[in-house]
Amino acid sequence: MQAPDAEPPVAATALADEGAAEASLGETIPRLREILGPGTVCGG
Amino acid sequence: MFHSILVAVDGSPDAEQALTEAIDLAEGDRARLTLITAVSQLPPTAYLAAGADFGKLFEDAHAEAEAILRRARERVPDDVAVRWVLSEQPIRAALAQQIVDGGHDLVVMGSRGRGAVRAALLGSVSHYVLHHSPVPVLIVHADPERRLASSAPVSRGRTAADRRPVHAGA
Repeated sequence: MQAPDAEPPVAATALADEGAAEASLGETIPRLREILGPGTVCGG
Repeated sequence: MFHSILVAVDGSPDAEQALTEAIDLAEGDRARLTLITAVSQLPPTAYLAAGADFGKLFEDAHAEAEAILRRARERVPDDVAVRWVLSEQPIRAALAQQIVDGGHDLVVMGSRGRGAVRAALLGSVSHYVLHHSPVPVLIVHADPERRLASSAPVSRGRTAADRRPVHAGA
């Protein structure tokens, strides 16, 4: 049984999406720098 | 004299005109130009829609933002130092953060974005930036008269009023 003040569980799909987004970001920045020159992607 | 100009781009006519003005200022002042755009925020219902491929929606929004940056970058002459920022934050927060983090001394942005709904939303963004930015803001309209509004004189001895008719609001 979950304690009343415990953090709600995070859905596995949400964690998977987050991981995929970070991986995507790691690929996006070098690719865009190659096309556009110096710059950055700021995460949400 | 400006050293670092931040210009918000979203592909709208107003933003296109804002980029034109920003390039003009950057060339005149030999300032560095930073292009910023944000990935369109997906509505909360996108998470909930049955069968929706949220990853695909996010990728599409990202691709659209990247295309906007590419088109903007192509318009910047080679003699202007330029960099870019692609934010996954809402545009209002992205601009507020970048103004501070980037050490910019001028913000140039269109009055309104694309489409009726987005125009209203981004119009509120320009209004927000106009009233909260710690540095001067140049709000650009793309209407036939190319009206400009500015929160403050935008350069030494040269104001928006010298360049185009000025309106008092965003």
